[in-house]
Amino acid sequence: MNKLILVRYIGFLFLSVIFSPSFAQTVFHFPKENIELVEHIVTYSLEFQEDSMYQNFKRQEDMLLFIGPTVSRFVSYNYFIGDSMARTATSQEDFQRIASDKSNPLPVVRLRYEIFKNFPKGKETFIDNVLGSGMFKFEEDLGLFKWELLDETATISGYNAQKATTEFGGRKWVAWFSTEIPYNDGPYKFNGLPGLIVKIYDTRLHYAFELISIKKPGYDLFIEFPELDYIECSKKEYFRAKDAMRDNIITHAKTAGLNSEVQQKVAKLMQQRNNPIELSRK
Amino acid sequence: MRSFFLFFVFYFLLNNIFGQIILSGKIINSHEESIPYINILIYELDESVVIGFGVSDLDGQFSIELTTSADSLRIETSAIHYKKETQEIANHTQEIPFVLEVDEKTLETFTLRASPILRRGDTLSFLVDAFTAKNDRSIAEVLRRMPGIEVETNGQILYQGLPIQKFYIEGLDLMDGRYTMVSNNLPHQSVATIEVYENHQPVRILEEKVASQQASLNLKLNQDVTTTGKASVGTGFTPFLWDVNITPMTFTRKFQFVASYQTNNIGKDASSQLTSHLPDEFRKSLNHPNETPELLNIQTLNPPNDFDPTRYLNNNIHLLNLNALTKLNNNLQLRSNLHFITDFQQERATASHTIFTPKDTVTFNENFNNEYTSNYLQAVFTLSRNVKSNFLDNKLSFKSNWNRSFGLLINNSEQISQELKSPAKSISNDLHSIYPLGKKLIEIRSYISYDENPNQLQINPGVFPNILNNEIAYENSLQSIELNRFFTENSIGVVYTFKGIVISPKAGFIIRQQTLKSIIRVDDFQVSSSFENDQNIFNSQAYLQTEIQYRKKALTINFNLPLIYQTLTIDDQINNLGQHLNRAFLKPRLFVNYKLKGFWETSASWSYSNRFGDLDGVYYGFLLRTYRNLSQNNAPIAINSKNNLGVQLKYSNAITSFFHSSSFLYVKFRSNLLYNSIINEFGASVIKAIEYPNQGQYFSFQANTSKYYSAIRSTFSLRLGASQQEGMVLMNTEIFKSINRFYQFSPHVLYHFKNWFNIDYGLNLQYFENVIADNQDVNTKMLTQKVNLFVYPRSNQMLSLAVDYHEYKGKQDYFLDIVYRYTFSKRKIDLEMKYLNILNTKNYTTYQAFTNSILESTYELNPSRFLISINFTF
Repeated sequence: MNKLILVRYIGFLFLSVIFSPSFAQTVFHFPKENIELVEHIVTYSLEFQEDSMYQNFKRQEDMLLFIGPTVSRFVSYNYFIGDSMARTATSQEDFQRIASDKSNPLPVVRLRYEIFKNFPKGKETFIDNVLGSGMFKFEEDLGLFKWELLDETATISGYNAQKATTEFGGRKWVAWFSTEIPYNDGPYKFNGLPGLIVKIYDTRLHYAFELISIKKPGYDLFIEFPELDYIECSKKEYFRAKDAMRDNIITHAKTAGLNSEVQQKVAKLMQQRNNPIELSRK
Repeated sequence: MRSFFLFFVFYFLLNNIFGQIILSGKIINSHEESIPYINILIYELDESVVIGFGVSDLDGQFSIELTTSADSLRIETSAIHYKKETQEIANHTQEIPFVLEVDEKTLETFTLRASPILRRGDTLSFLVDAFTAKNDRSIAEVLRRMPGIEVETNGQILYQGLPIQKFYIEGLDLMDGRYTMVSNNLPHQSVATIEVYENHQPVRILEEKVASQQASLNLKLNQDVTTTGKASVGTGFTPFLWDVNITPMTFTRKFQFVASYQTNNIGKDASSQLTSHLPDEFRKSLNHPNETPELLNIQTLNPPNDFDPTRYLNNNIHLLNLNALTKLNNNLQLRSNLHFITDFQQERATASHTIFTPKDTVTFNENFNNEYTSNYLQAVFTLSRNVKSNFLDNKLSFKSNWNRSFGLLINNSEQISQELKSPAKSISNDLHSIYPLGKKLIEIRSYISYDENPNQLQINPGVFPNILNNEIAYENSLQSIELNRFFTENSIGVVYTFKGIVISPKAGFIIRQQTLKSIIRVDDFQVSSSFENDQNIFNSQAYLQTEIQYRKKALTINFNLPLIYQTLTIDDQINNLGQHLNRAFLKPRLFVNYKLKGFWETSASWSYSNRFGDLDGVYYGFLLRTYRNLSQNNAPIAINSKNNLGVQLKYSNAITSFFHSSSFLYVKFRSNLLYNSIINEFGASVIKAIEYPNQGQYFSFQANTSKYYSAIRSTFSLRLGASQQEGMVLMNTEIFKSINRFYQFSPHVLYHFKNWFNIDYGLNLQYFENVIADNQDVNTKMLTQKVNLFVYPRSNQMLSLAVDYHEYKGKQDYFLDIVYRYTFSKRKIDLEMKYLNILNTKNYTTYQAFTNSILESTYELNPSRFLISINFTF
């Protein structure tokens, strides 16, 4: 019975790693570049459908957009909180203590990527962790989006907003922006409209971001770019790594010592994640 | 040609009416510096719809192409740090310069809605019906679908990515972390709404002091529901097989009750739903005495880890779990969680032991026919008060078992019967309390336990006539022992918060006191006093901990230095022997991690530990521990030290899907004791601990490589392993060196086709070598091959097929199992069919290697079995 519990525990740890790539991958040192001070923290609620087969099954996650004078950082709320907590760790033991602290636990993070817009100038930097292989980094042009303005207007989250459409990543997107918030930024990679995007969704309603708050930071909060040993790659290589990891999950589960029944379960769970925000893998 | 001409005419005409114009310009500030990132918006004169826009570049330039029929336009600038500028312009291409003034806008006005962080205290409610799908059975399946809620494969529930703290039913915490019993068995029809308490601090005294990120769930039941539950029934042959689970539940406002009865004879572990999701349970018990001291045993085999126990285990288990909670006066709650397990297991096997010494080799055979009857009762009563001014949680546990084992054994040709009665009783109390002291909080934890283990091992006939009975053969020997243990661990800590982190420094002490009394009777006469024990052990410890850390860029060095002060007194009344020791132990540990560039990572760790051996292993007089093991440990207490060095190198490239890791481990161990075995040709051994400082070492190397080819949807992997252990062995008064070497070669292929088919093949080749005193060399090898196939023809169906192949010393064993699962979505019924050991393989042979011996065992397997089971709710 003790062995069973242990196996279950190991299994649980493994699942938490897969389904929530852990924050600190053994190195408890977080060198970072303070790019600039955050002016505003914008919170979006993201509703997304991980499994394209299942219409009713939506996940919800809060996403943060930190806007500075020239640069912005986009990250999930859970990742931001967990990362801030993990950074207080000074060692593996300390990290485990933090991770197992029942009164103040680390959140399980589903979306772990970070997007830095206009960093470097005119570009956007995308960083993400691919399980077992470290941090990946690639750059894209900021001007990815060809927006078409429509003359529809509406009040969204209390702001007067105007409709615009674009195509991106194999989906058609409908955006609502408000000139009352004079930033040309938005959630995810979206940017380039003459006002903050207050709501954006794809036409199949698989991904929908909606503004829920705008605040000023209460202290000197920087837009921090983690200075890690990145695996610098192209967007295509990043997608290849991400897809191979997903297809190859049984091998990863086996390496972690899980039995074949759990391996199958993990594979089933992974199959339910078949609907990435960017469908086209180029 | 004419139509082309017409098109041109038309185009120019249109262009005149709705002409495309370009509006460009430069944006500068009052110091004539260009300003980038300014939004420029174009409107028709009195409209509010943006018809064109642009953003100024790094030189402050903008350029907007526009097509509109309006006569005049409005052009506006918009930016957070500058004042808005508006101009009315005519609809033609032109340059419009802007000079912007800095604006100190107050930006607080943008706060629109409180962020989720501030939603503290809010309660969200979800209507269960709205989230139910047709295949759902239990509430756990519906929970999985609610926004923000997730259920892990092990049953743990998460909200917004965090494990929930409490699982309440109508506001009461009945299950104390073991909520899987309810969440997996409670039909969703019984639950009306799920309430989520966000940022819930369950300890009320900490409410405004320690912020909580975690949520708790509360299940609000349908009004008409008082009794509900789930059942699953499975049956099969041969012999007659069953697997039953009935879990009824009753909930009222002041009283709640969950019961579960589970029984099977298919070798299944029925206790899995009793696992707690509280992280505490894993961390406890490091210092606590071993729950089952197991000083006496009937001769048994420990099956290898990779062999599925359901293949050979013949069980008959009944489990009854009762949980009840009532509200008392004075804000007190009383909860009781009881479980009772009764199990009967049978094991049939044969084993061949080969023991090597420098001069000769002893081989003896045993044929086992063992029966284990165990009855286990555990009762936990929790009294808790959770109010603003203090927190109290007191758990009182009783554990009791009445275990009996009976073994009929044939050693070479002699038949020996063994009977072990090992009842045990224990009582423990675990107190956790938090009281305010000024502005700080004092946290007290106190654990106290007492247990009694009166064991009796009766053996007919005995194998030690020369030692126990003046070389006269005897019918019957009876070893009886009484081991009583007291243990307490107490700690006090201060809890305070610093920048959102809870800091809790701690100091503690441990006291352990135990007595061991034992006698051996041969044919009802007591054997001399050197086969008797009456000893008393007193051990106390005080502990503190320090940690030092250094880090620079990719390098992390961590140094740990826990300090423990121990005193130990052992006193034996019969033999008038004893020892007294005071000692401080240090357990330093060093960890170095260096992250290389890109895909590489390397780490190294070293640790040194130094500690007393297990106190249960000290007995000055002989104990007859099994029918052929007579042992004595009257040497000074074992002090074992260990140096541990590990190096790991990893390469992982997800772009090419190539992963590799190599690790090297070196351990050097020292002990002041060596155990001398004097062994006869029947394998009977007399073991004595002797003070003889000795050391040994262990090396191991492991490499794992895997590569995924997406074009053929296959993964190829290879595991290589090699290890060597050397140490000193004292056998028949001769000290010699023993070296064990172990090699492993294990390739693997996995292929998967879309979502409905995957197949996996693996081979494992093991080679073992034992070198005794540099002259005797023994070796053996084993080959295993496995194929697993999973097919999902539809989403409600699953078919799996598994083939195993084992080869040991020319004997080949095959196994074949098939499982098929079908879900009837409308009727809320799941059907599962299993056909196990289809080839009706009778036995299985494997080996285990020890320092200077090899044990080959052959298990008698369960025959070919067919099992069908049905799940339903009520």
